[in-house]
Amino acid sequence: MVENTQNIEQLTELALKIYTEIQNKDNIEQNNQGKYIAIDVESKRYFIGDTRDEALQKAKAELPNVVFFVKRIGGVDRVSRNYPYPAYSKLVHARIL
Amino acid sequence: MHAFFDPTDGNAKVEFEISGTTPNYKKKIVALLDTGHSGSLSLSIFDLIAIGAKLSAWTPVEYANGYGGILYLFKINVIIDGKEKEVNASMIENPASREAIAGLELFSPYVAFIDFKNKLIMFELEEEFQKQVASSQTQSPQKT
Repeated sequence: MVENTQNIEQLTELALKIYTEIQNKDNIEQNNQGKYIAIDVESKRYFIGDTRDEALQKAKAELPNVVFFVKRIGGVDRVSRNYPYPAYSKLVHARIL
Repeated sequence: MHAFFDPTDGNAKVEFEISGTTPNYKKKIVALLDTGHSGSLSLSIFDLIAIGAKLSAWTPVEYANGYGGILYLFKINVIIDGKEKEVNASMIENPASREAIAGLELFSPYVAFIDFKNKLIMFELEEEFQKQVASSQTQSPQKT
């Protein structure tokens, strides 16, 4: 499934589908609002932490070579006004992946 | 940790070092201290390349203009007061922007004092702060 994804937007869509599956199966949002989840899109394993760094630390301890999808449980992080809007985001995404 | 109000733009800044996979290389960073910034640290593409940061994750976000986007996170080490801490710094994609942004999550073991009148910022570890409060209470006479 992961090999068929063409770009980061498709990979993110797939990761969000897996997040919904996890929510439907384990109801993670009930007791973990505001915490962070790191998901391995390939194996669908997931790790929860109080902060983004904590979730990733737990995830990397188990699967050190995986690039994880990480998300705030029950919402989306809002970036500060000081953060420069990525004018070339599509171009950069394509180049990295 | 060195923190100060930058006279050139009036913003609060913090100074620390970062490192990645580049052997024996640490880079000094002056970052904008941003209380509204989610996450710990955002770095320019140039800083991430210089230290050899390794991609660790990606995350969906909403920008201040309401648009959605994706941030790439890179595993780096931050050295504050000689202590190394592993964080996942997000990449600032716009190459025109060179300034790092530090969120409050980066300084979680510290207590910050911001004196806007005298333009001073101080960071203290919580136990140091508690000691200072306790000693000032024993030294100053109680008002009745």
